[in-house]
Amino acid sequence: MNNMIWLVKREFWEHRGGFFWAPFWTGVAVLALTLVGLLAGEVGLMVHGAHGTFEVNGVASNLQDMLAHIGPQQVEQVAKALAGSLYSLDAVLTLVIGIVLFFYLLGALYDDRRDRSVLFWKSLPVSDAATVISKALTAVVLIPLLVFAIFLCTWLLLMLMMSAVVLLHGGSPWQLIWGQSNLLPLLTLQIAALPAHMLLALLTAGWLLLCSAAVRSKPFLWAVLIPILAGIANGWIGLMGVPTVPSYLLWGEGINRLLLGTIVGPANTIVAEAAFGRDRGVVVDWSTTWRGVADLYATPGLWIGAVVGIALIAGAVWFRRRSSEA
Amino acid sequence: MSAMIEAHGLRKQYRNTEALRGIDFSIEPGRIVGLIGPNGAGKTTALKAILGLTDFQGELNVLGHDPRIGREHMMQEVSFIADVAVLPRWIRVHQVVDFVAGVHPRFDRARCEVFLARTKILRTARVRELSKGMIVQLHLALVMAIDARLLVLDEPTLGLDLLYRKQFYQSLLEDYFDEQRTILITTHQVEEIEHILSDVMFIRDGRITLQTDMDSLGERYAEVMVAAEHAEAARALKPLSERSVFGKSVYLFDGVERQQLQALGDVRRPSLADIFVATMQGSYT
Repeated sequence: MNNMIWLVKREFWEHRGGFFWAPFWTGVAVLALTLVGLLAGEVGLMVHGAHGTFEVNGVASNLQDMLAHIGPQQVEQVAKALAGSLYSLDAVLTLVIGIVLFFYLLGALYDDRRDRSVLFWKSLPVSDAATVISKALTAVVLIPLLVFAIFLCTWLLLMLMMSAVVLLHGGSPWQLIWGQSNLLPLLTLQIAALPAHMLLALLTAGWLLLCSAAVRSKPFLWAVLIPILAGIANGWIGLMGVPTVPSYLLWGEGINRLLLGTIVGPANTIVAEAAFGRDRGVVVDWSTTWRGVADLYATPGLWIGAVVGIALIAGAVWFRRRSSEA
Repeated sequence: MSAMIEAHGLRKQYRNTEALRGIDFSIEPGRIVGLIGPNGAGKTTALKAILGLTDFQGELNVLGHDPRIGREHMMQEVSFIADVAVLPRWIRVHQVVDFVAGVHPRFDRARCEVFLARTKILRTARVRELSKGMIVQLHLALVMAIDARLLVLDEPTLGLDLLYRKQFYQSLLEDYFDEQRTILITTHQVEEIEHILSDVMFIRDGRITLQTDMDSLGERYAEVMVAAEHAEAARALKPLSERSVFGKSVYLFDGVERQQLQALGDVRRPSLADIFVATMQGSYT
């Protein structure tokens, strides 16, 4: 346990740039862009005068009037926009950290063999299993939690910025922003989907760690080409009329999940659906959404993938034990 | 339990070559053993087997452990410097000290700090910012602060300047070595370690060709400077090697009676390097 804490710390020392600063600056960039947008709006208002008119839905209006006469339709639109901002932020952070994790896992058991520092790590009384597990734990559990925390902070700041604008123009942020954000249900949903996301990432983490531990050079090529060539070979065999793995299963459940599990998964899709509504006119149907999350956990593919992922990690330990240099 | 390391029929087969051809040796506590051999003789393979870094056939016992099983327990009492510059280049000095202090139950942080205080190494520096010599000082400070029973050094001073090399071995002798510990060294810089070794093992083509303590080595091998008129008599005693110094011939003998040799000329103790060169002749041909 004590060793595991130090091993995980070690990972964060080495990869602080990717693990923390990459999502952090992504959040900052989103905030900065929002700020620029809000400022541009303010400047526009100043040019036209705070009481200048502009058109909303074909009706000439001004901001003061608009805030004073907000109808249920507008409120609904605000709610959608807020949910959209939540989802976009989530999507961009997931993409950034997904790419970081992909390359982190590929290098995790390879880079130290290439520069021979593996000989230093192996000179310490730490088991190879603990080393490999610390890397899987970092990628599958700890980084998603950290990124979720960054996501939450960024989103709260985003809401505060918008509240400030509403307040500036005499509106009620509570009524217009916080009351419409669906903050709690959306967050609960995300937290509920997080373990599913981790279970899905386990397969990718296992595969990438295995490649990282096993190959003598070019882990990226091995990790990507083996599944893709297997898929193509499967297709050719199919052309000859021999029974094969159905390609939707092989590509969709196998290859796709093997390589992209850290980047984006069904958990995000469910959150997106909740955020935007099933179709754009309808209010979010929470019962359907929650059923979606429950279905996610009921999918055999999720659990099979997780078990295979663990087996692959065990394979990575096996290779790690045997190879001391690349 | 007397021997630190005991090997019987230690064998390692790579795809095309046999790196170790069933070697036997044993290393006692309180010794400084030099494992010396030409490139490709099997030195590194032997060390890797001892450290549990490679699979092997035969019997090997290191401090009561089979290195293939439960390496992490064995490594509590075994330290290891692979060669210069295996410390991870991204890590900071204070981080690597923290890490070793965190995972190693026998690491004495205060001791490490004392050793580091003698160097110019900054705690906030990354390893990649240090010179080669400083990296070795750092690694040595870490290793000497570990209360291990066996220290394995594989070419620890390769590429260092003379000052760092001298300092390296001096620190080891003054601040680390005692009769409880054993040090196993491989290096090509035989001259530099000759005076600190208590035992020597020669390895050639995967076999141990010589295993002895330094005192016996001095008794067994002798070098004689022979004038030209005695050359025939000297050659009759089958010297290992012959070389010329200032017009006189120097012969190296293995296990020939002192009295016989003294009749031929001045008898001297040969250097380890000369014995090595003489016994390893033809290794690369």
